[in-house]
Amino acid sequence: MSGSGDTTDRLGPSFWVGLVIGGAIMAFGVRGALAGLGAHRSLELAEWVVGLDVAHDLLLAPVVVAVGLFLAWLVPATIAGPVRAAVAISGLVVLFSVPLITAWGRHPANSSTLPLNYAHSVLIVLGLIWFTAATVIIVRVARNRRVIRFRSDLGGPRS
Amino acid sequence: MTNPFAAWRDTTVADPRHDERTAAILGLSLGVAFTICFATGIYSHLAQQPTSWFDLPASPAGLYRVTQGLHVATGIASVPLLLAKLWAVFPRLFAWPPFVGIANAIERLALLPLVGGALFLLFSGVANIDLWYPLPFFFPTAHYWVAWITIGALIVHIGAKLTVTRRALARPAVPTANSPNGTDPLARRRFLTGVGAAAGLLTVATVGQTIAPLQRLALLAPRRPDTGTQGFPVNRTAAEAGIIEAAQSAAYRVAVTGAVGTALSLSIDDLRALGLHETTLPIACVEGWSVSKRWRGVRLRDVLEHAGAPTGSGVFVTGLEQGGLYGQSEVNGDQAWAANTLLAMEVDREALSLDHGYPVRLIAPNRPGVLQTKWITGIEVR
Repeated sequence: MSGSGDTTDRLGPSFWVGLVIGGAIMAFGVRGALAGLGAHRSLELAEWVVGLDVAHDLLLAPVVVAVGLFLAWLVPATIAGPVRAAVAISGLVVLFSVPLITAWGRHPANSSTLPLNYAHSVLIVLGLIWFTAATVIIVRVARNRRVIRFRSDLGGPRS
Repeated sequence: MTNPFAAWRDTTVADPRHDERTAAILGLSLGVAFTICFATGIYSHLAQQPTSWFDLPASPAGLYRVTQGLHVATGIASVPLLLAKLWAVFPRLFAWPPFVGIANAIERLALLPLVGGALFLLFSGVANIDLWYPLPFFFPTAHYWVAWITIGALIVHIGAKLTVTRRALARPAVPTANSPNGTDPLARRRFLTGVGAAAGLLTVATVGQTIAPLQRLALLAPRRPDTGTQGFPVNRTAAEAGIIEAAQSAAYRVAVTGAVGTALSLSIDDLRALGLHETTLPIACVEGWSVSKRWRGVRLRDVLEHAGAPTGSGVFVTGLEQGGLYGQSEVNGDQAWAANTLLAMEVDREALSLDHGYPVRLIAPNRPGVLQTKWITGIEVR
């Protein structure tokens, strides 16, 4: 349950209004799920909803935090931003593309389903991401060197 | 009892990428995105589950194409927005004590259906457009009702966060040099730029499945509007529907029954004799792809007039496909009598292929592709 809930927030009247309206809509949704799917399937649906939340909080989010900490330790501060962004967006693209690359939904007799070579597509997109990141890094490093040289010419500090 | 995560949480919450303003900006973006998805989703639901109080109009003809294209594109763009928002607020999960008072406990409890529901909607939606069905229940039913639950939880969350969001967004956006813990004063702006870039990248890489000029960029689109039999996608092939022999039989007829002056049983030649018309209409799939095609066939209203059906009456169309949910569909009076609703026999000046509904299929304006019933054998006037 990833939370933006700060326990020190004060909850005013808008919370109670939201709770009444939102609670009624949620109850409508639960009732609809029970009627449309039946009790057994609704329970499975609830397991999926809670399961995805738990999978995010206990698996995905900690992995992302750990990778972030590792990159902070590994990569020099000057280029940490673009590297972090490239790693994060690359991870997102790969995660998004898993059903495409594996082609779980492809129908062999229907050439219009998942018609591309998605591993190839993902490589192109990753290439684009890292080309952009490399360009930003090169610009930053060059700008940094110019600043250092300029300060050095002025006899100022080197950092 | 002390919170073992307190030191890490306090450090990260002070980072501008994890502060209230970042959470508010991402929350606002997600709120807009989910509202668009919810509204377009309800529209799609009404299109597929006709009610007595709302009939989809026949005009504008491409409305469903726009709403469903927007639904899927916005859902895809929401993936990085949601993950970024959850990352930004993740340290707050470890708030200690976990709640203060009953209101705060309720607010935090309501995050479970909000976060779980949002993750479920995006996961199931992406899986569905990729034609992958790992869920043990019927996708449209589950997706639809979880959307209601999630929107309800979102309203609870908005009510709880209204004051904090206003305060965070009202704060001047100019970065200061006094960022805590030596963090980059532009960190928030750079982080949000990265999130926007990720959303833009996924959008550009997929939206060409409905916006033709961007088709060449649609590297991650599960469908290409120009790929398939006769140059556009097929959802259910003739072989999958098990109708190959029946569709090619010399005994193929279209029966017109129900509230008519004269019940008819029309051969394809009988239909052609009523006069052929051409129209350009989109075929727009619930999975987000769409394409405009030039169709040729007999007007449904000409058939209805020929049978003596009351003007403006709705019809129930059935096809050869058995056992599926989409072998039949309702056509409301507005759509049934529209001048551009055809029993189509040709597409782009070629006879329909078996996969696209040979010998005759429905093509009507402002309608999901799954309701453009193929291999039509029955028209019941209601």
